[in-house]
Amino acid sequence: MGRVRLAYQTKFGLLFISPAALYFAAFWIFPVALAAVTSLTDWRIGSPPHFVGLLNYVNLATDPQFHHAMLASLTITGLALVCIVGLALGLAVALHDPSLRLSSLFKLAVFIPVVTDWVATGLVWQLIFLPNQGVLAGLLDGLGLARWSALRWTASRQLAPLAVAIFIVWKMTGFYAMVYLAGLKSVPREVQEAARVDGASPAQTLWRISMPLLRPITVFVVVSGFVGVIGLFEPIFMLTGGGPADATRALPIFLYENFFQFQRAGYASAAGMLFLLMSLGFALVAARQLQYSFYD
Amino acid sequence: MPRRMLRLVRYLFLSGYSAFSLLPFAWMLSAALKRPQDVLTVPIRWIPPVWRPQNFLQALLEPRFAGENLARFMANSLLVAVATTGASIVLSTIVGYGFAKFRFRHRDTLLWVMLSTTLLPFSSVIIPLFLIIRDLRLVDSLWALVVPFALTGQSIFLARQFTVTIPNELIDAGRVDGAGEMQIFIRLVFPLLGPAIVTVGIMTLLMSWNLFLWPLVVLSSQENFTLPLGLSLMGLGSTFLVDYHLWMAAATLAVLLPLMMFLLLERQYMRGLEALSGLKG
Repeated sequence: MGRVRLAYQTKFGLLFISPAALYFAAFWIFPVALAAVTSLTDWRIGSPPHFVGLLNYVNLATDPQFHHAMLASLTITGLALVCIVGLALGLAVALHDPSLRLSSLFKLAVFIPVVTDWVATGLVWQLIFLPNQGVLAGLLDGLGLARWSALRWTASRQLAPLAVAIFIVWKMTGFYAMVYLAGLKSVPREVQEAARVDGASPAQTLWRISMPLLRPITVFVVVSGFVGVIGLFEPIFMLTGGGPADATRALPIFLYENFFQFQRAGYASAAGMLFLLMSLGFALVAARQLQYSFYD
Repeated sequence: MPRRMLRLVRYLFLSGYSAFSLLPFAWMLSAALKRPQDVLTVPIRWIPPVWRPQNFLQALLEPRFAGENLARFMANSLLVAVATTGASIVLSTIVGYGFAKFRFRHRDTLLWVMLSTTLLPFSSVIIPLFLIIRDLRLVDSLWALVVPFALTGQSIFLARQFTVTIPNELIDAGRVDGAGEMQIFIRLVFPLLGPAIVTVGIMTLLMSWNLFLWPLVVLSSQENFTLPLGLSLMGLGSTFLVDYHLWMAAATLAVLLPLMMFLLLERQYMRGLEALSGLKG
């Protein structure tokens, strides 16, 4: 393509990407600017807005509800992410073996929750966690652990974040397991063979050879997993609705309630801006890790 | 000896996790076929004592809330998903071609910015997005579920990754023959983008079908509800006090389409996933 003039390439390149430019202007840049302006007002839907400067941000800094939301978000995300990364890596290692029988069936089983929706599966998990008569209670009873069957998974402050995290782990682990598996496949077989010939055990090959090569993928999994989990509204909405006593009222729920239920548009916009900036920081780190794939 | 132990551990782990992964679906299907009084029993009865396949029809057709039924919600979901997917295929292949086959200043930066937006949680931009959709007067319309998702950083990036592999000689040959740039794209490039189209298509279709938070905030009339939105309100206004068997029948119907599409196009879906995670597309 070197023979075609640069001006010509620029003209048609920009022409072809113009739908994206329009789309990003209309659905990212303009709305975010609008929300930034809104966050500086005391706007409540239905009454005219007044400029209040950074008052909303000052109020957020001292709002115990907002602190609760941050804490709930970090608790749920932390719990879920640790399990997701550990299980995903374990599953990928277990699945990465050409001699494994039924491997495509196992892969399918692991991945299926990813493609189904949060609401349908959320209804099922509601009934799984039902005390005394739910599915989990039934399973525990079958295992002779009937005394655990009365646990109020979604209605106790200690267990509710865990219940939400379990649902998230169930739904998302398959995705990251497949990402890791793809990464393991990209580790050259000769390198692994060479390690084995030199007398390395399977565990050594994994830790010393494969893991360092998988570092960019681990960064991708952790960062995109963090941003992916912390932004989740559906599993909380389906299982606990934010309760009990704010134990699972995470940031997405906080935003939704303040804007769409309490109509505090200015205040919610300010909280949304903080959430957006926080996520943007993570997203930028992740995208930088991904940059190597642009050139091929 | 350790190698055989390792094998056993591997099978146990995979079987255990598969059970964790699949049991909720198995229970859902079994409950969907039961009478209401057989749904929640201790111990669990995996085989329905009395088979009730008519639950599916009842869940689908029985009016809920203000007279709309699940079939209507399903039709809405299908309409939205198909429209979004079609638009996304056309737009993202055009944009992907621009990013893959032309050189201009700041090209890679632009692509990088668009890609990084896919890593932002959707819930963090929901308020700005709502404000703009309100200004466009699209609130409570199915268009509101199509327009913002017709082009995403994800679909652009996927299309771009596939388009890069198309040989430049083909495009140059088109130019030598005097074809216009748009003609080259439509006649020469687009027909070769089959894999990109299927991958972008399946990923967009599943994303759109599973949307929940966005329809929840922009839709208010029940005749516009999508399937997940209707499902989430399943418990309200039903004729029985507790009709979990109908919940499960409805949930089974809702996961049917994504499951079938995924089983059909697993390879293409996985290729998309690998491209997005930064591995080769």
